[in-house]
Parts: sequence; C-alpha cells; structure tokens
Amino acid sequence: MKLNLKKKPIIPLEADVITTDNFLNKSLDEIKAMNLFIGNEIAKLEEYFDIDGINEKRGNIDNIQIIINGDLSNVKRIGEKMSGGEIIINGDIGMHVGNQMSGGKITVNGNADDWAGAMLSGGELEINGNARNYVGAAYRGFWKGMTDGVIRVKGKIGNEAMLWSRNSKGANKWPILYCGGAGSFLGIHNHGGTIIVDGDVDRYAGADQAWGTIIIKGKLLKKLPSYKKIGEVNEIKLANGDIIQGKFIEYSGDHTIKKETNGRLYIVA
Amino acid sequence: MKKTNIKTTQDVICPFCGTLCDDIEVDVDLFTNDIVEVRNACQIGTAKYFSSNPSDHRYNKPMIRENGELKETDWDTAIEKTSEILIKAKRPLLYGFSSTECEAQGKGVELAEILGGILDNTASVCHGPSLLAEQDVGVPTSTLGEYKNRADLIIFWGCNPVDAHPRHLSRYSVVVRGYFRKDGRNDRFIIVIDPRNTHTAQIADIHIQINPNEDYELMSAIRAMLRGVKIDDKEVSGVPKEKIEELTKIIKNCNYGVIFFGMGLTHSSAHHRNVDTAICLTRELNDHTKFSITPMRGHYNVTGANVVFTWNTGYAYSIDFSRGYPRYNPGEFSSVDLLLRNEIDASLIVASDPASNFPANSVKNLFKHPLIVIEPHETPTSVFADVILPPAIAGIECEGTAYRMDHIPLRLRKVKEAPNGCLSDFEILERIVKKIKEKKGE
Repeated sequence: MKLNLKKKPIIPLEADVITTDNFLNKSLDEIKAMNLFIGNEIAKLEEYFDIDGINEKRGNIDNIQIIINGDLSNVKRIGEKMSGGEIIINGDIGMHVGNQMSGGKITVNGNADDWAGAMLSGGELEINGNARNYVGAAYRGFWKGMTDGVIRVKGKIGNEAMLWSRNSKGANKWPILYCGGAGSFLGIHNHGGTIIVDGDVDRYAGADQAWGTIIIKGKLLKKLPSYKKIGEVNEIKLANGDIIQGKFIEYSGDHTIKKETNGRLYIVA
Repeated sequence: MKKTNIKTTQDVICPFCGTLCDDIEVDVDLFTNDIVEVRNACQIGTAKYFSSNPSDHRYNKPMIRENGELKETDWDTAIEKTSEILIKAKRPLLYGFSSTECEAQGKGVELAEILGGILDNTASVCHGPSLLAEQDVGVPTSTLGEYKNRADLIIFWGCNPVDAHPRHLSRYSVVVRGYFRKDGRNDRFIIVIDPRNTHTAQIADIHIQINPNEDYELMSAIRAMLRGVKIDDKEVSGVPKEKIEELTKIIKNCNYGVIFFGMGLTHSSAHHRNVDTAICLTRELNDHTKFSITPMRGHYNVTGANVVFTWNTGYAYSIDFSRGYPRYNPGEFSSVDLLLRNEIDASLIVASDPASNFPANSVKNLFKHPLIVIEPHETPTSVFADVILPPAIAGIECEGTAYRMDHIPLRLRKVKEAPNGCLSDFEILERIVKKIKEKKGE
C-alpha cells in the first residue's frame, strides 16, 4: 500500500491508525474512512493522504507493507503498537514513531522526532537519519521502558535514550540500540539494555545504570564520578552473544546504585 | 477621627510566594477602600498588597481590541467575545493558574475539557522538572512544621530563599526555634550549594561553590561515597574529593536533615535529572539518618494548581484534552514547546505573564494568534491581548484555597472589596464555561 501526504499539516496530525494491524483485512474504502485527530477535530485518512494500492485480505500481518511518502514531520504516532508487517517512511517523521511496537519493522528514510520507538517490546526500528530525544525510552512514570527489539539510528540521537530499559534473561529478551552519536544521559536508569554508539556522546552516559552495557566507540564528553575504571579489554561479548572487537577501557557503574555492580561502560581506548 | 475608618484583618495568608505566611495583618481604609498598612509581611508580600490599590497599572473594566486599539466594554460583551475566540480555536491553550485560588483552577480544568484544549500551569517553566523526577523515583518529603521542630541540618541547593522566600528562614528553616531545636540558629547547621555567592550563602555554615551545571556530578559522587565506594576523580564539579568526603560525613551524621532546592537544580543543564538524583540521594541518606527533600515553590498556589489538576485529570501539568480525555507529556504538550512549534491557535492566560518569562520566539508565536488574559494589572502579556478580563485579586479581594509548598491547604482571606465590582477569577471562568456550553448546545 502506498500513502502520499497531500499537504503538511500546521497543527500536528495524530495518525495512530496507520499501522499494519489496523490495515489488516480492511478494504480500501474502510481505510480511507479511518479517523485522524488534528487539534480538537477529527479528520478522515483520505483528507490528508492519497491512498494507492489494493489491500490484499490475506489475513497475515507479515504480508502487509505500507509505504508512506511526504514531509511527515508533523504527523505523530505512526506504527503505534504494531505487531508485524512493515512500514517504510520516505521523509521526516513526527513524534512517537513505532512507539510500543511489539513486532515487524519500521524504516524511516529521514529524521525522526522525539520518542521514536518508545517502550518497544519487539520488532525493529531503523532510522536512516537523526532522531531526537527519548529514543526507546519509557513514557513518563513507567519503570519499564524498552524491553526487547532493536533500534538502529544512522545519525545522532538526542538526550535520555533507552530510559528505564529492561532486559529479561529468563524470557531471552535483550533490548538493543545502535546509533551514530548520542546526547546526554544515554541509558539513564538502565536495567539491562545494550547500547552501542559509533560516534561521540554528550555528558553522563549510563547515569543510575543498575546493570547493562554501554559501548562508546567515540568520545564521552564527561564521565560520571560514580563510574570506576576496571581495566582494558580487547573484545566485548554482548549479552545476546554478539562480539565487538576493538580496544576499550572498561568502567563499572553506576556505583550510585550498588557498591558491586554488573553495569559496564566501555569507551574506546 | 481617621482611626475609626480603619479595618484591621488579622491572620491573613500572604498570596505571594509558596511559603504562604499566615500571620499577616492588613489595615484597610473603609472610605477609600485602600490598603494603608501591612504588618509582618516581607517586602515582596507587602508590595503585592499595595498593588491592589488603584493605580495606572490596574484594570477596572473589561477591554476588547477593536481596530488595533484596546477599548473598555461591559462584561457580557467581553465574555461573548472570549467564548467566540475559544470555540473557533482548534488547539486552544489555557495557561497560568498558579497565582489564583484552587476553585478557579478547578473551573479552568472544566473549561479545557469542554474546549478540547491544552491545560498548563506555570510549573511547566518552574518546578515541572521536579514533578517529572517525582514520577520517576518518588519523593521522601515532609511538612515545613516538621522541619521547624526537628531539622538540625538544612541544605539549600540551587536556591536563594533570603531573596526569593524571605520569611522561609525565620518561619521554618534557619533562625526559628522549634520543639527539639530550642536554640534556633545555633541548633542548626546550614549548607548552601550554589555557584553564586548569594545572600543565603553568606549566612551559611558551609558554602560549596560548585561549577555551574555540574550539580548532577557532585550528587553522583556523594551517592557513590554513601555506598562506600572510593571515587577515581580528584575533583568533582570544582570541589576537591576530600571536601566531598567531609560533606558526606556531615550529612550522614545529622539527626534530621532536609534538602531545599530551587531553580538552580530544575533549570540548570540536567533539569529533572538533577532532581531525580537529589531525591535518590535523600532516599539513600535515610539508610543512615532521617532525611527529607522539599522544592522551594515560587508562586503562592502553584502547588495548588498541580494538586487540583491532578485530582481532576490525573496529571499535574502539560495536559492535552484534544482527544476528549486527558493525556500528559511535557515537551509535547507543555506551553513553551507548543508555542515554539507554533501549534497554538488561541490562548487564555489566567493570572500569569508568559511574555516576561517565556523564550522570545515562543512569545512571538503567542502574539500571532488571539490572546485573552484574566489579569488585574497591565503586564507585557496583557498589552498585546485581544480581550482583557480584570479579576478581583485572589487572597486580597476574594477568598479561596491555596496550597503551601509542602502541600498544606490554607484558606485565603478577603481583606477589601474589589474595585468597580470586578468578578473573581472563579466567577469569570464560570461565566465563560456557561457561555461556551450554551453556544455548543450542551
């Protein structure tokens, strides 16, 4: 299916209906009549999007592919809570893309706004541009953020990515974030998330990290005093079995939480 | 002869800062309806009382902008115009509420709900970060009376109460004599942590002058030390390691400690994470002694705004009703961010002056769209308004409830009549709500 944005909305458009789950087993007319929210008014999907392609009623979510074109920087919540299939977004995307997604794949060929992949519990989110704050973070007041799945951001991400991320050894769930660079408070309150940064990171990576792994292949602007140097390593084995080669300085922390901690921060030597 | 015209009201609650001093005496001349003397209040509080007297800056009648000029009008026309603007708006913003009483705030919530608008209070640019941190990690706190009677260690972190909450020190925290602190100032140890040499720092036992924007690091170091960890760094945020160890020892060894914090934490670079770690520090100190933490709230009823919004909607500020139910997300639905992105198409400002406090670009966007203010005085915001609705000043010209910074509700008192029969904030909002319901056919 192809959706082309007709005109960039001035007030943010909430398009949480655009998910593979919602489009499954729906006719073209039914999809055209779906509700979008703009300010305190309700609009129909066809008012803002040209919709092409026949939605095949195959009954299998993994066969659904939605391609969205246009400047979607003011369109929020695309791919919310989706559980399978694929969405490809060609253009910049607004807040909350792929939030609470549990399966499937979203590719953004552009930049993403705040809360991309917030509270992800499965699936894959790929952003081939920059993303802003709270990538894969927990929403306000939640003590469990991203619990599984992968987020890959080619460019830089903003502050507080992977806030309250949480792994589960028993359920074999390992939330992972790859990015090209990051803002401050990367992986704050981390409880088992893995973060791999190719470039530089702003201040205080891994603040209040209980356990988990943060690997920085560039520079960290400021390391917290509550991290302690352990030594140097030549390879890092990730919790999911992957191995990262290279010479890294290993730090343990955050010691604000515990005297002896399994939390690790690796910075390239 | 003149003496008989004076009416004295005692035990008045001062409607200025979050300290809500409750021992003010106000003299009003009954013939002129002017405040002639205010006793016990600080300079700022006294000035607020005198600001209610007639002046060039006080509005007496509703005003509407016609052909670019503000013109006086009657209440019905002004309310009619207000409801027209608000009904037409797709994304109206209701902002302010912190300098008015709780009943008016409750009406504000109702108005935001029927409009499907956005509701925000001044915590959004003040202690909003504290509320975010409280949602993440909870808060061990207590009332000011408890501190007065028990606290022997007071930490002022990033705040300057001598200038901002002048009577806080004499009523609750520093020089006051308490049940277990009979010798007042001599029974208390005062630590000020601030990059500036403030007036509060000058009366402290220890002033730790840290580097600006590095509070988070210092707290991390103290927290690690409390866990028995020896840190690698020789100096943290400009403070030598030995001095931090000494500080940690002092705060561990007190009987009852309290951290008061202000904008220095909430509005330096780590924002809510500063407060987050300060709360965690307080929590961990309770393994060694008794410790509490309290934000130094600015506006006298900003705590009330948070409380009223929370019991009505579940959220303290930055609330969006556009989908019919309340949603909360500071950064997405907070006033400054909305205005910077130019998402708002009309606004109603109640008892607040965003033009003086918001970033310039957001103020420019605020003035691009219809603006209604409920405001007794001429302010940088009100001069650009399309409709001005002058209310009676809450706590001086009408009664109401206000919450102190430690969440204690107190009853505000009326000491004089409002000029020209001005309505209270509550009555104005009630009339707007009624009008809008009428127009929408509800």
